[in-house]
Amino acid sequence: MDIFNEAHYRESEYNTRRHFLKNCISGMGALTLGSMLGGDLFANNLPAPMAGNGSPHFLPKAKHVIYLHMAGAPSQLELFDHKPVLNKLNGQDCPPSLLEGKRFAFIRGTPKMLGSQATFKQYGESRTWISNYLPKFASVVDEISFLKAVSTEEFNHAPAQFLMQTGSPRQGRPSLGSWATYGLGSSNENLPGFIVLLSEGVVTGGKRLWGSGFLPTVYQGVQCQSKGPAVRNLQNPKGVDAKLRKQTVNAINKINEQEYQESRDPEILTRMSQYELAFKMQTSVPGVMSIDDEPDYIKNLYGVTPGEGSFANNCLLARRLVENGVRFVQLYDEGWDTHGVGPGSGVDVGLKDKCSRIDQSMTALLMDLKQRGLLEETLIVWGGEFGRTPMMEARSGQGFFGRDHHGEAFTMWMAGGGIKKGFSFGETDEIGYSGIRGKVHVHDIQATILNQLGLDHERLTYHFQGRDFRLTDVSGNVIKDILTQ
Amino acid sequence: MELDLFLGRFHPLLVHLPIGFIVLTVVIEIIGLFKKDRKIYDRIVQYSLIAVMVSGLITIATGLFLSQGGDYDADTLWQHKWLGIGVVIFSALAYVLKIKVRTYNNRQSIFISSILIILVGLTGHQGGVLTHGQDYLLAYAPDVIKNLAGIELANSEKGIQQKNQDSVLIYQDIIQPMFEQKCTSCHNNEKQKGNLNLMVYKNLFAEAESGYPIVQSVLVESELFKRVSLPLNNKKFMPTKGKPLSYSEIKILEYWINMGADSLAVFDHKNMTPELLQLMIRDYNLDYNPKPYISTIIVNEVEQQKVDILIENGFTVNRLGEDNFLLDVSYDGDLLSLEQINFLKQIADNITFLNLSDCGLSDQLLAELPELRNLTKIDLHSNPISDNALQHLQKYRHLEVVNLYDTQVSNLGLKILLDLDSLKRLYLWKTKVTQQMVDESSNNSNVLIDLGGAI
Repeated sequence: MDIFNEAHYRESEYNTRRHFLKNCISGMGALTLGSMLGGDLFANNLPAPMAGNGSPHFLPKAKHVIYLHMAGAPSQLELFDHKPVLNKLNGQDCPPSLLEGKRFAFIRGTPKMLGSQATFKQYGESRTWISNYLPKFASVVDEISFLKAVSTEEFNHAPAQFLMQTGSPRQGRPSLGSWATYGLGSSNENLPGFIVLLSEGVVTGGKRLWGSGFLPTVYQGVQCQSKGPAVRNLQNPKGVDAKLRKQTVNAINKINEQEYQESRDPEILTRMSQYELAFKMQTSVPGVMSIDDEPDYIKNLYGVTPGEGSFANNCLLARRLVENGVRFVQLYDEGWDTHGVGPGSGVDVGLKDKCSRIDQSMTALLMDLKQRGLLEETLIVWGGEFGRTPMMEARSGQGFFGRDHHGEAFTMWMAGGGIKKGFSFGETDEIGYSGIRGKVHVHDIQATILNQLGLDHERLTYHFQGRDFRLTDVSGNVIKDILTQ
Repeated sequence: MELDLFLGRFHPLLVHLPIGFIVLTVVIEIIGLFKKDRKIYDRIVQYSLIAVMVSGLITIATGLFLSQGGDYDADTLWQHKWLGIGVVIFSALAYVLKIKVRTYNNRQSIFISSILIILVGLTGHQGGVLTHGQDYLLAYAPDVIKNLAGIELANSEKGIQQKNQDSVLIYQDIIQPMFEQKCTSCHNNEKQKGNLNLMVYKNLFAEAESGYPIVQSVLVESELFKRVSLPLNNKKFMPTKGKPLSYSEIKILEYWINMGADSLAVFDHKNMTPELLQLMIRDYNLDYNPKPYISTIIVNEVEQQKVDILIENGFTVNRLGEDNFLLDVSYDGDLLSLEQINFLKQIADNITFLNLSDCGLSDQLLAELPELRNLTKIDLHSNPISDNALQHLQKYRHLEVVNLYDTQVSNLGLKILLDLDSLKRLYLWKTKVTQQMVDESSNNSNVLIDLGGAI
């Protein structure tokens, strides 16, 4: 065992509950108590154990991550993966070789091939193929690295979302953002390190997608909203002012402190720090989360509609959060599940309409980050939980152009922090069914995201139930091909 | 006419005839030992010995012709020659004895058989050494046998892995081991085919049979390079036996020759092609891509106490890796004071990223910023800074990124900034700098200037 392994082992040992209770009796408690008595309510250190003392493993290329998750899985064949051969095969029966031994979520029998409903053109100096569904985004392709052959094993939304966000198709594992903040801590003590923004309703996988799993709960994502109060139940009730609130939190934490002295339950420390953070957020969040004070030309750039929970608003918020030092901003945009079960739910009209609602704002996000010098230190990740089949799903009879879930090959993209510009990695076969070159798996995406934050996905572990866990479990390779030096 | 060589090339073919007859002689002689009536066996041995002598003489003749071709280690050749002649002489003696006594006694029989087998075995082995090289026989033997035979277990690749990549010598660590693997079975101290010996560095530049193996810095005149890069089926392609040089090996050889073929030469990214850089990573796990300045900085750890002072004064301080002590420092407050700036002096060497944006930083205050010798990135956006302050940035000799969006900087300031040699990226959105000025500047510098508004 070399010295690093040993240090790491000690660290993990330190992180176990028993060890925590045994050895950290005085330290953390005294720290919290000390800061309270000293008049400053808040300790700078998070009481919960953190990997590597908040230091990345190596020089990071990105300080922040903005992950744009298109929940429901957009069709790569209508957006990025241009397949002229598939268009020629439109309407023909799918050859049995593509169906043998395969399971689909909804396709039964022999489906027909479905050509792309979009038209493609090449853009930028990189001559990247982009469809007419994303006309604005086409102007920024020279900032992007596309991954054309991403694969996943899961073909149903919730498990695939869990795999993408937590590294395991079953719930209970910590999410990407939790691992990142566990590894690095928050760089703004007044805001949570991991913030989640949802546009339009709920995500299939639910709140566990940003849960902290077995990691201390301080690392779970804090869901904010751009409609109504930014964080639910954060405002003081009528008749309670900040001073009274502070006294209340003080009193509660004093009791908690006593309780901790008796029970030594580390979750109490987490709870105490959450109270403190919540109090700080009462003043910090409304400022950050209010997009009203943005100048009009910025509002127009994103296409925001104040007071709504739109993707555009969330993109603008994401920039503001990153500007204020939030480590990991996770956006979910639901409604990409284009099965074609009715008018407007196919990859023709429905998908085009959906795209028009993100095209401007995600392009604006890139441009705005870039002109502020933030793009070079922020990693942007875009993708669904899987892709869509080159075959038509005709669940409700003919008429609507729908595609079924497809995990074998789909497109994701990354940009910013240490990612090559105007680059495309991986290739699918002539009909976009499976990857033939540069195949990457969900775990490779996760390893790459952590890598850009300066974290080694193989070393970022947490000891739980007798073994070390990590985000990528036993797999994952950093996709070096898309990284700048 | 090279009749002698033409005939000589039949030597390896004919050599198996006397060998076969000798084996036959010995087998029949030994079978005869167990028979009561040995007459027929004696007769066969007699004829067989005649055959050994006749075929042996022809073989010796062709062998002598072949040896005229040179290229062979003289000592081994001498041994092989006289051993071969010895075989024929001894068979002649055995034949004479046979004629005299008709039947050997048991002792004579075993003695003659043993001598014949030993002689022919030794001759054959020396022949093998001549054509295939000294270590031919046991080159692929299991390590146990090699150990018994006293052969050193060499592993050239291991050597590279253990070395620091900057001290990898192209000749000693890559080219020489490659020669030993693929060339020196024919071009060694004992045997110099084409009058070429690749065991010794200086021989690379001495004239050999078909020209100079390597002409320093002149790739096209280097015969060695020409031979290894010919089409595989070309008569002159080298190596004639075994695995050809890999693409990477050829590319390294090319690079090394072009760089002057110095025995102490090392790789330098400045004159390596992007392809060679990639090949070195892929095949040798050596990354010669230029390292950014930041990854070359070595600084000492700062005392936590000093960091705590900064934190108390409204700064956020982040580490940038567990094996370096570099710091990313940003000021979170709204109004930075001179007193707060002075705290930066405490950890000056460790600061590589500094964010003093949107904190009322004036020209006067900026002038007070201490010497930060490892500063690579500074963010000063949304401050009342004008061109006058920018000359103070010139003391930061490794500054690569300057963010000045939303300041009073104008075209004049841009000129001052472009004097920074290390500058790579400049953010000037919402300043007085004009697009025209940026266009002009980008013609004579590699600095990426972002004026915002579009990508």
